[in-house]
Amino acid sequence: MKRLTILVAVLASLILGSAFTTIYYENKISNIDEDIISKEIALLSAVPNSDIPCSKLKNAKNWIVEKKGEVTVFWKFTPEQSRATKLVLGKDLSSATESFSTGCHVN
Amino acid sequence: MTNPDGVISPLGNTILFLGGVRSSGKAILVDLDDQNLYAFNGPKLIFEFYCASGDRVHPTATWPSLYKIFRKHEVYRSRTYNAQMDYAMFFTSDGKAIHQSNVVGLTSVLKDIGLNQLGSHGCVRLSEENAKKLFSWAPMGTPIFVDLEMI
Repeated sequence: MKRLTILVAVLASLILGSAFTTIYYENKISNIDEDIISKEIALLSAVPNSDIPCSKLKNAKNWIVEKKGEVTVFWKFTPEQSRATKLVLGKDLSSATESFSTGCHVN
Repeated sequence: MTNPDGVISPLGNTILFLGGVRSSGKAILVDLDDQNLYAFNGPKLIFEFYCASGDRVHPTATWPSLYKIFRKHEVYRSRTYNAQMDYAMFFTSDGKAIHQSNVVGLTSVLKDIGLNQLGSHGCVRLSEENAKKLFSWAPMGTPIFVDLEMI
């Protein structure tokens, strides 16, 4: 009986321990993902897509660089696909990029 | 002039117009005290989901706050790092979002009883099924009230 009680206690401890460890690490991984993505969204939101300098981009073959407050933004336009790419660089050199469709070529 | 979506109560611990008081339109209420998320269409309660908000060091809010969904991504994947967020609805300029997570149930219970060691870094986490439902239901611009107690 005593051995059975010990066995049950050990098993219960193992199950509880592994469950809490899994949750703790899953939580930690989720937090890291949140930090990365929140930072990227903050950078992307700092410069709205509507700020795209269409007139400059239409004749540009390379990236157009603009300073917007504390961030630097790089723009590139691909007329064949009517898509633009925006790369935002923060003052701590963190970066985020996104591609979006735009009507730059018809303006 | 349009009517405001929320008004801070005299005690400063909740936003009025919540819990069915808002007369029209969709709205989301995140109740940090109970770790619950409520979705309203006007005064009608559509969804009630358990959620997990920010931990002790990274609270989702320290004061009743009103935001709007300004960006939605069914799957947001970082191009630089191996990080992904599913059913993400961003509502603050520093990147806080309501999104899907695998660690919601127990975290929510622990936070509900006052153990804030576990939790997000400011985001509001939902289970996959609930996050999917809310993502389909809530359009861009939906107001989000982050509240400290339900009235």
